[in-house]
Amino acid sequence: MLAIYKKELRTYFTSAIGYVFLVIFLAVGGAIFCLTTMYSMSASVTNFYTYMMLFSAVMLPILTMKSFSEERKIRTEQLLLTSPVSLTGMVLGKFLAAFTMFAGALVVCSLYFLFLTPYAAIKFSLLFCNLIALLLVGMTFIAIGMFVSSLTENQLAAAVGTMAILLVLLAVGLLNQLIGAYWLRFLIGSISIFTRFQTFTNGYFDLASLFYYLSVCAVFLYLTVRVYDRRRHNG
Amino acid sequence: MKKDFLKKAKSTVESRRFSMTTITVLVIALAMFVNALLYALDEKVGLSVIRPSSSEITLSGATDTYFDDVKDLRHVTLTFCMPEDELSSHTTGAYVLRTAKQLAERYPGFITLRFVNIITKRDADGNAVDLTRYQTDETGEEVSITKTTVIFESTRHFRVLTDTYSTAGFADFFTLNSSGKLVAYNGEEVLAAMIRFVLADEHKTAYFTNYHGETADLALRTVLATAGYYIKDIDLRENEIPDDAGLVLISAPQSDFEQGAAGSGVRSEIDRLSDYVENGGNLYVALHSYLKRDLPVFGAFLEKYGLRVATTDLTGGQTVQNIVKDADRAITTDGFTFSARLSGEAGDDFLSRVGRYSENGVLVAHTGRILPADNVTPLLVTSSAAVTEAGGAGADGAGSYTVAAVAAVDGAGGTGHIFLSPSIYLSASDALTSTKYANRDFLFSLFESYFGAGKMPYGTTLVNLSADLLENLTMQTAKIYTAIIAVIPAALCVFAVIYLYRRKNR
Repeated sequence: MLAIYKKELRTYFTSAIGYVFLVIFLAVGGAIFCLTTMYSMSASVTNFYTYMMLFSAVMLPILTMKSFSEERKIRTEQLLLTSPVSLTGMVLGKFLAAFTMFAGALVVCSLYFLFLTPYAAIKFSLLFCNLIALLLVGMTFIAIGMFVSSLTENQLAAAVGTMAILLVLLAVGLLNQLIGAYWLRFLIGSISIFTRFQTFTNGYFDLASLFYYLSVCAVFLYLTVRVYDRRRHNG
Repeated sequence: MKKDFLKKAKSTVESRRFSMTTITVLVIALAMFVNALLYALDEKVGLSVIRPSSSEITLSGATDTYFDDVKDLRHVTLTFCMPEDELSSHTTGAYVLRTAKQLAERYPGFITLRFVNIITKRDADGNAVDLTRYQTDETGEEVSITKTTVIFESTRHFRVLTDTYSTAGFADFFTLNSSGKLVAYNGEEVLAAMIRFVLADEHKTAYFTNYHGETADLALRTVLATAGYYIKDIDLRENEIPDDAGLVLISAPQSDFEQGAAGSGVRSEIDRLSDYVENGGNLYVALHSYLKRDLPVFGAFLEKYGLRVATTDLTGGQTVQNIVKDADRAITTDGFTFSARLSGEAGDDFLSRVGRYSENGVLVAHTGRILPADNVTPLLVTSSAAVTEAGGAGADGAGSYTVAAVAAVDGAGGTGHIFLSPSIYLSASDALTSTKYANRDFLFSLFESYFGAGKMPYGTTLVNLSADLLENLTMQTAKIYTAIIAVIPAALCVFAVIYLYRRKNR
């Protein structure tokens, strides 16, 4: 797994995609930071991370679109399937590499709040909650992106498909408010990414939401492994 | 033992030939079930490790005195137009819910909470609720009912608070600054005031004048609602001041009022204002802080009742009038200070000019001051430490500038009062600039002492949210930080281009 992780990370930095992702993420993240804080005269961390979550729903599919699609397209997935690395290790290695890219960029953006410390009492506990929340959301988005990428050899289809799924999952939380039946609202709220994210942005470090994100991530990684396991057995 | 268990489980699965599809479905179902279970547990008992400050808000105890004469007599129902579970996770609604629940627990039998789903029009017990009867208030005004509406109701009256001017919702329970940002949570005060409002036998209306470029001061309107007034607007060019007017407010006019020609028989705005005040009416006047021209007709009206405002020229000939509530740097005996807000580079020094010290004491960069006549009671005066700067030519003698005053007007219909401040910023907007003194206490005292309003909710819990506001950050500094932030991706882009180019040509 470590070898796959290092190889993937090296690929990001020896090809354009890693730099494109980082440059766009840091540029847009910086713009969102400036607009939601300095130019709004507010030190609110919640606004920044909420917009970053929506932005991540667009950017992370671009990061994950080539995870497995490219391997299928250039016919190198047979090498992966016959390598001594377990499928789980392979999937985890790619996942961790993508997550490292995302986490690194997000941490850099989060450090911008240090600029504001002379001008407001930044609630670092709230910032920490929001950062953890967005990292968890990012993990989930990456896992979903990798699953969709494993289903197709077309990178564009993988990216668009992932964006569509993520936006639907986010919209579900908003539609929840229109539902009258408590039991249905409860059910949708329990699976809504946005509702869970809001819990963190309101300052609650919620163990139930933590488990939610980890379990969704685990389920999609598991599904990705299953896809490749079936592909391996079907030849 | 664990290994044996796993081996046995694996062989059981293999022997029964569970397909991977079945296992996958079971895994997903199990994950959903556990998540739903934890979600339910979290709602009931709370699984949070860290909780935010909204959950730490407590009642002040001031409501014991405030409700002392009413709580055993009647009953009030607070209706929220959002299910309780949704309200508890609402960014601003969670604050209001917490305070409302605390009040209901403290005064059982006096205050009851009800939660209605605005989509299904049913409460938590499934009973149908008719919300249409609240869509017209007791003055005949149309009121919108939305998810962030709170309805207060007794057997006699009802009052609907609907936030129609902020995206967060429930803004009536917060203090907003001039930019519309939430700076403080004062839900206990508003909830208590509205509860008392629906128990009162009669209500007065506060009228804001229009068509002179007046400022819509939302914080002032909130304080008025808390003080028990209905709030309406009035066009004095066309309408007489109604009999139910407990207060008329002129909030920072930028153009002059109409003065009809003598003997014309046509009633002008000034005629209507004069009649109102001379018949025992109450007038609240706050002048525009940055207005650079005189309003001769309006100025003459005020002078007639003993109120004259003198403005002081600043360095460069600019004329501004501004009051900032800052008890830590107070230069008045009541905790206020004054500063000039200039445009451009000088404007960036705005806050640095507050509390700037000269050789002779605390420097008042600028303020308009009231020159009171005998019938005028000064309410805010500068302390002896205050020094003014006139024309940039050095310190002027000071010490007894009046920056807020009330004039008594004896007329045939009774004694009216005119309150005057040279600045609109003497309002609730700056309520929490200092924890030692609050603008809203000043206004409550004004309403109670001079305008005949009822009991005021002094001393309730006020939660400062302004820690989120950036202070002393100038635009110039913000631009420098923006440039630094922009350099990072730009430098990475340049590095990437060079690195990949060299790698390609290796």
